[in-house]
Amino acid sequence: MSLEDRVALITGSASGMGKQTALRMAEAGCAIVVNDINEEKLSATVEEFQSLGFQVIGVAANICDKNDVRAMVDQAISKFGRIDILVNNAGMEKAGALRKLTEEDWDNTVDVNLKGTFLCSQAVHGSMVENKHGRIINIASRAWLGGMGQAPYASAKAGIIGLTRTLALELAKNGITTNCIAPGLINTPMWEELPEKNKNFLLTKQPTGRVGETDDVANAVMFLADDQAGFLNGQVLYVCGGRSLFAG
Amino acid sequence: MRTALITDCHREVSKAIAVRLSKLGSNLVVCDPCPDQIKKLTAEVSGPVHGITIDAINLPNVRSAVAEALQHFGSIDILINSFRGSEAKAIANLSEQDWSSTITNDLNPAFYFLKEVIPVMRDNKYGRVVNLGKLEYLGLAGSANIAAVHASFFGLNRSIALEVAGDNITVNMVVEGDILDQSTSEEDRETIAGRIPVRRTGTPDDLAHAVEFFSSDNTGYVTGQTFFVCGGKSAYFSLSV
Repeated sequence: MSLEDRVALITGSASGMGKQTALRMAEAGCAIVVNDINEEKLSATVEEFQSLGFQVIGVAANICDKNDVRAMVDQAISKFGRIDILVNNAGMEKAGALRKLTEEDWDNTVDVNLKGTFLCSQAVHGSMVENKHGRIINIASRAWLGGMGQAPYASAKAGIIGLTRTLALELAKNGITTNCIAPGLINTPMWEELPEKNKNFLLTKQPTGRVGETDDVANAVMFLADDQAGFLNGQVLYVCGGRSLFAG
Repeated sequence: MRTALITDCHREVSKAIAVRLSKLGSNLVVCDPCPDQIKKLTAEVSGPVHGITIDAINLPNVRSAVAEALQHFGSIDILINSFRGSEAKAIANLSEQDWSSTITNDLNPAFYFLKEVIPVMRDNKYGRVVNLGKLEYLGLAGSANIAAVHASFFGLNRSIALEVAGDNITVNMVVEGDILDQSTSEEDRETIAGRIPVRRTGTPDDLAHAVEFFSSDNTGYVTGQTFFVCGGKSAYFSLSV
């Protein structure tokens, strides 16, 4: 692995998959920009990383807001000189059948997942073009294949895949690769909160018979972010225990 | 210490994979019909390595090679299912002989090694299978025989991944884009690079980086996947998602 001295901005990294990814990258020698909309969790994570001796700053920003995103990226570049790796991890889901969904549910889901990914990629790519090196890693989801009650989420995550493939074509000549990870079931607080009955049902559909860990996703991010990954571009890597072989 | 079996020695990518896995601490079993190719590869590897001369065109031969591998190292934890690389031909020039030979040399050996190695992995409740394929499987004019065989790997890969997932065995396919070796001229390289989003051709080490990931102990939650090492070229094809 070769991530030493790289600068990584990871959105939504105060907890969950984002935090584990940030931790692993910091351990590998990256300077880290932790971003989250939850300022309390953000401070706690930054403090934790600092106590471990990592190079880190925390920036609270709403990734759906162009000005917030611009200020975040400016702050990151002001501190570290550049951004080499962008992990568009921040996301949210509002599940519900079509008849129950509101326009707000749709807008919020698409904004956080898809618009946030677009705004951050746009804000960061200039630094990457200047340095002729970049790794953009978007976190989509197996859900893009379609699932009951997931109309806004599946749509937004499918949009991330289209965006990934497009950026992969547009930006690659500048030394920037753009790839996407599509996690399946991962052991996060959202999984923990599910009723046992639901968990057991979902596990029966898992070829591996187990749920994934945040480290499984972090591992995949490290693989795509690596300096040696310059010929990996435009890909969707499912971290799902084989569940992606089926939709629904 | 893991043991990796690589089913081909003569392609540059196979060498790059062997060198990398050896550096990471794996024992290696390297197979090829040509003893000279085995000798060349083993000379480049620093760790424990055992070469087996075998023409993998039938099941008994492969069974015998796997038995020899087990006798030598005791287990097979990683299977790198490579292929010889038959010549691509357009339908107008593709004879029945060409078709059969592509299946015999490039497809059947993959099945034979899976058939013999999967039970070993099941007994050990651990395995990492990486099937190598070619970008042509998405469909490319002038490559009907190659496309058909590598599309078969796609189905084989997914089916077996589902069968063995509960045994802690992952099965993934790494698809080669324009991974060129020293024999390609600079002029040809530039022409090909012009059609790749990253504007360069791939190297065997690019592929080895991906194979390292899918072979790793830490990748137990990634299975049944088809992953292209192509510089983004697969994004020009509609079925690459």
